[in-house]
Amino acid sequence: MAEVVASTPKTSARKERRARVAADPERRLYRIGAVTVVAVLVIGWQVAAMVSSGEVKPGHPFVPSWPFIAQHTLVGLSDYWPGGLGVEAVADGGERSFLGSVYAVAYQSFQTLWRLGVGFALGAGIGTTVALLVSASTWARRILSLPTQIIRPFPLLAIIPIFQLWFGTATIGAITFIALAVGIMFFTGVLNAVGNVPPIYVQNARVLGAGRVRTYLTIVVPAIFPELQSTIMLAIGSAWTAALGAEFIGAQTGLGQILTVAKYFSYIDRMFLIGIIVVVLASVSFAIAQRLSKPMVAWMPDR
Amino acid sequence: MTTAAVRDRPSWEFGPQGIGATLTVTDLVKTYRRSGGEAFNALDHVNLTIEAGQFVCIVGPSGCGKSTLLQMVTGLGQPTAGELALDGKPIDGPGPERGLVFQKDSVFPWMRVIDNVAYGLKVRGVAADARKEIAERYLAEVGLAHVAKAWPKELSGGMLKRVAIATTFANAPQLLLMDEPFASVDYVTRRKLHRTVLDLWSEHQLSVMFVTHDVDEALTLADRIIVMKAGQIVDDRLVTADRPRGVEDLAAPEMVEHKEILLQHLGIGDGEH
Repeated sequence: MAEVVASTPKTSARKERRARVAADPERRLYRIGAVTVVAVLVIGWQVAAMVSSGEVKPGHPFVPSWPFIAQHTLVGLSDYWPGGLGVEAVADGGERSFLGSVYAVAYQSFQTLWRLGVGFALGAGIGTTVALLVSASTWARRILSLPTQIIRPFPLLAIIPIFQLWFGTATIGAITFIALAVGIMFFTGVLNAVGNVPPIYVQNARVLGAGRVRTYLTIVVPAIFPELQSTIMLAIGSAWTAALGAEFIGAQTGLGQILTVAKYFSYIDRMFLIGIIVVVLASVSFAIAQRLSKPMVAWMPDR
Repeated sequence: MTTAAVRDRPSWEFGPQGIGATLTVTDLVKTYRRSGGEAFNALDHVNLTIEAGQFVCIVGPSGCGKSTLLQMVTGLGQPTAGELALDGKPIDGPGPERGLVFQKDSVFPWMRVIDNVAYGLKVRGVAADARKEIAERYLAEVGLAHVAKAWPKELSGGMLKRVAIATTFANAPQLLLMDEPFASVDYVTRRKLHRTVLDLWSEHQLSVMFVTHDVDEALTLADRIIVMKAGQIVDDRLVTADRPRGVEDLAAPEMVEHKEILLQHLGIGDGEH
């Protein structure tokens, strides 16, 4: 209810938040706990690397140490830079370099990310639309109910080869596959959320004079958003799974393809590093989704 | 309908809105089937006319059919048999000429207070400036001008009721339906809300059908009190005392007599209350 204070510069807002976290013992403990767990994991890995001397093959340890990953593994990824920006591709006789590996990670991540983004947008859009149609119209329900029921329990990873055969190029196959994985989640989530909209809001809108379509767009759609947040988060998770899964099986580029090659040669260090990169990127994508949805749920009661 | 009320009608109105309309209920029947399979009449051949501008309270024990009747008038439920008409026009589905204040909280939590009040106007195509002005005026009338930009989550239960009342009045209904609207607010807030509703009612001269189980509430508000029992109207009395009716007014002999008879209908004999 209080008047909104004139917006403050970003830096001071950040300082303020930091001060608030420092002042709140509950949040400080949470932070300390989180940092401790990560530190223990990192140190634990290093200890395991030092204790275990086993190698998959000479020069490729079962448990690669952090210095090994930072030097050898990371630089090795420059194999995946197709060349340009003053760094020659390794396949064309170029030297492995740190800069080349940074380029390679950025390039291959981008390959994965854009497939993931397009697939997610397609899946979310189609899944939401179909679910809204099914819950709004009896005819849409009659027509679409059975097919959607059949698709839902389909083992997704098992049908990747079909997708790649059908859609020819690996890129379109991967995108449609991600869209299917995401679309199914959105379909289920939206359908469920619509069912949970309190009828009093719909009745109130109708009494105030809103028609059916109007009621749907102005009441049902905003009312389902809070419940949809968990669907969005789950769908981002399965989009990452689907993206890497599709690349793992048959893409020429992307983080999943690096994994495939690493698996052939038993490069555990590379698999581990790609895993870390994926975790970082996925975390960023979760954070972005959370940030974007924040203003859309400003009206929700604080819990 | 007074000339003042006609003069004060906002210019955006279309049709005969804002003026009390006559509700006629003819031989209304609503039959429900219990899960056991047996049918029972929630409304059993109800006949009723609410005159234009009249403030009618309907009281009765729970399950007497008063809420079912209200639901039929709102258009949210279909009667099994019989007819409903507002100023001679048959009622078929919900419509803005019949405003409803719900028992539960019906304020849309994802819209700011002012957007809630303007919602009915928006869906009916009133221009943005006009609806903002109207919404602001009704928010001021219910004493909530200062929270126009707030989210509903920031308001108390009594304030939310005021928002619902402002929303309904802003939509300029001819018949105001209220379904035990103040059952869940505290006594003091309820008294204040009674004043607000009476003020708005006398200003706009609309017809009111107010369902309650609270005899004192009915005596405070109504021109006319109808008692329902087992789906039928069993009593229909006029209350002629001047308004506003305070605590001491309810102690007047005429009011006490009304109250005793009403309580008897509700199943509480003399001396038990």
